[in-house]
Amino acid sequence: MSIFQSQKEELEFMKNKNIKILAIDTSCDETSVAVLEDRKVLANVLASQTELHKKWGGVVPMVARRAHQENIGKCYLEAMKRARLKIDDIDVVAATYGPGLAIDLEVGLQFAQKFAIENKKPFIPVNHMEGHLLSSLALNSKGHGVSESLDKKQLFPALGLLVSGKHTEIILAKDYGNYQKLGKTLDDAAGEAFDKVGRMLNFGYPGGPIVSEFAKKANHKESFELPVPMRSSGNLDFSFSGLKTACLYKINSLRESGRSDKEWANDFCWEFIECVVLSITEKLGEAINQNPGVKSLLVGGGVFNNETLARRVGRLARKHGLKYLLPEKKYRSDNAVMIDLAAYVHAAGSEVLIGKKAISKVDRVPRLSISD
Amino acid sequence: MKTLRLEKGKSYKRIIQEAINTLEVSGMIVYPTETCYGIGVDATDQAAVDKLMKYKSRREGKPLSVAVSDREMASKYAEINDLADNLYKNYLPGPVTVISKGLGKLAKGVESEFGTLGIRIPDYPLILDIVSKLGRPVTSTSANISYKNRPYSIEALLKDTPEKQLDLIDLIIDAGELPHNEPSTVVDTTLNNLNVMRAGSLKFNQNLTEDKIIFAANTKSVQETENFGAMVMLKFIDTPLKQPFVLALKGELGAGKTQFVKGLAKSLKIADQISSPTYTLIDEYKYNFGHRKGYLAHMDTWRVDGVEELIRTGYSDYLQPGNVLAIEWADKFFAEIENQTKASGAKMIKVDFEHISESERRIRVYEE
Repeated sequence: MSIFQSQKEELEFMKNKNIKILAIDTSCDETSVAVLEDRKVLANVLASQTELHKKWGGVVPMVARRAHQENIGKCYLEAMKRARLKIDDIDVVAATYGPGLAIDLEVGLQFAQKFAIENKKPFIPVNHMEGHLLSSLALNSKGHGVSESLDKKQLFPALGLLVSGKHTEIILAKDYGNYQKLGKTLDDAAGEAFDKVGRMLNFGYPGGPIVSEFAKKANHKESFELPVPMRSSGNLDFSFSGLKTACLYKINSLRESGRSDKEWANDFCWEFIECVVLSITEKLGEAINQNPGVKSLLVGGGVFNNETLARRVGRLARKHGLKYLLPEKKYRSDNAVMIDLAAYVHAAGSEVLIGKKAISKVDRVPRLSISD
Repeated sequence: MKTLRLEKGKSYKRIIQEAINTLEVSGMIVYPTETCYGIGVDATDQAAVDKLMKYKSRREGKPLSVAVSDREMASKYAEINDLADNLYKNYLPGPVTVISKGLGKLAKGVESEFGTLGIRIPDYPLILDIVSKLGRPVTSTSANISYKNRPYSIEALLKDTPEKQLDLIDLIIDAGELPHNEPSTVVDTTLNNLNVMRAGSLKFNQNLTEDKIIFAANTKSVQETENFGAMVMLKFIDTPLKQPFVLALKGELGAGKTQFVKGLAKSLKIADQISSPTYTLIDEYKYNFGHRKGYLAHMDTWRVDGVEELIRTGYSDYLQPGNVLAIEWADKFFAEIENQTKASGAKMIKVDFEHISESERRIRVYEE
């Protein structure tokens, strides 16, 4: 069902656009509210970065960040203030309905549904993973960004690569909303492996970013013979649990031999990252070979904050002549801007829901997949 | 401005004394470290820190880091948490800057606007001796003014710095061209936490000694661990018909907990891929075969900070007949989990995973 009476009206809408979408994401550790005008970011509010949490001194414990119910109203007000908009100015409302923790998803979804119904706005439920996939489409307030064109003919078919704490996926995208999962993790995600290796090195949680920092200082004097996962699996799936266990045993034996962490930690972190990057780039290379004709590579997820991964994936994309769409840093980990973007590309389609009956029917789907 | 050359042996003590004398009167010194030339003032001296800010110019609220002589000195000026403690023990002295919550005892401008403080112990005896003898932290920011290159030689520094600012420097300790090492790795320990698990674990272990072992296996591969999980689920396949069924899993990283849950899912005829729930905290899978239906809720408390957060995950909503709730790291919050389980009338078993070798695990299943 389209919200438009006729195709002509729809075309008119897409041409004039300037639609303002309010989007909400509460799928995981962060309460996030954003407002975009088409693809232009007018406001991007994360609970952990607002006044709400000043009392923590910039450092917000997980329990406070996850307090979506307490955060959401304030984040919404802050986003509207920053965007300098009134309720009347909002054209469409969007929210994540999955994947994520059920109890967390409910908060954002119900807030958005209620807002849409009370204010008579159309509502678009968004798959969080599609948000990650399209996160590179954001433009700044001046209209500049990673991808200035939305032209389907230039982008699709595309491959997607999502690497986060929960997901490690390769996706074939034939169009907006037409996705096929080619590969996924069978156990731990890449980001989880980063944090768990960080924990083994006593970097606390989340230790992944510290692993990345230490790796930068590697002097490559030592090899630990860590395994590159799933090399001969014959498919595009990932597995990082074996690498995690290999790291555990290697670290224990290094410590038992009486050597201090300082002597080997930098090289160890580097080699661990190398194994993760090789696993990802090799599978991605296979995916590119299996899908000749793809034009671009859309990536997303917090693990792309690791510069080595971002660079090596970019190099592979360029080698195969693919346009490499790496989101800006602030849009790599969870945020509502990407939810806005995913809503935007569907703003003229059947995903748009109108009226109390249709909107209130939407329920959270905690294990939603991008190909659902 | 005075320059002293650091040469082997002869002048070392005199240089240290000159540096101390300078720092004592709010003076500013340029000194070598294992990364690059740093600029130092007494970090407790407001006039000296103001002078340093004037020198660096346009810092826009960026905090300064300080050099201390040892962990003990650090603990007088910042809260050293477990993670920071680990870094002091394992990585310092060395090119690592540890950010901790400051105690507000240094001159204004040294700590960040959020009250955090960057501390390092340089792996360079000269500055360690100066700090130790002064008895107070010395700023350890690089000696270049804002937007200029990190200086590895005094010549480069002099070339890059305007006269007006050079006039603010009181003493330069010249050790010649330094190796071009990268700046220190900055680790913000206030963003992290080391999960506290001791209390819960004790309770769990105590419980095990009172329970009886109903199944045990030494598995030699991930497949065998999965098969064992499938067997355990089959043994209890009728349990969820009457009451919620809880499996409290305990075992270190990589011990096979998630593999075991894959086996549970197999016996519940769940076709979906079971992956680690560490990030989502709870993954729910619907099962439905014959007259059996409900959810397998796969939970992981590894990332969970405390009981309040555990409760917020809504895990107790799954304590309904029909459902199977498998909780990884259940030992972390065992008291809370046991209370909820009992209150709901659920059946609970405990599964203990131990590493024997890289591929071998000992798994024991306990029942009250």
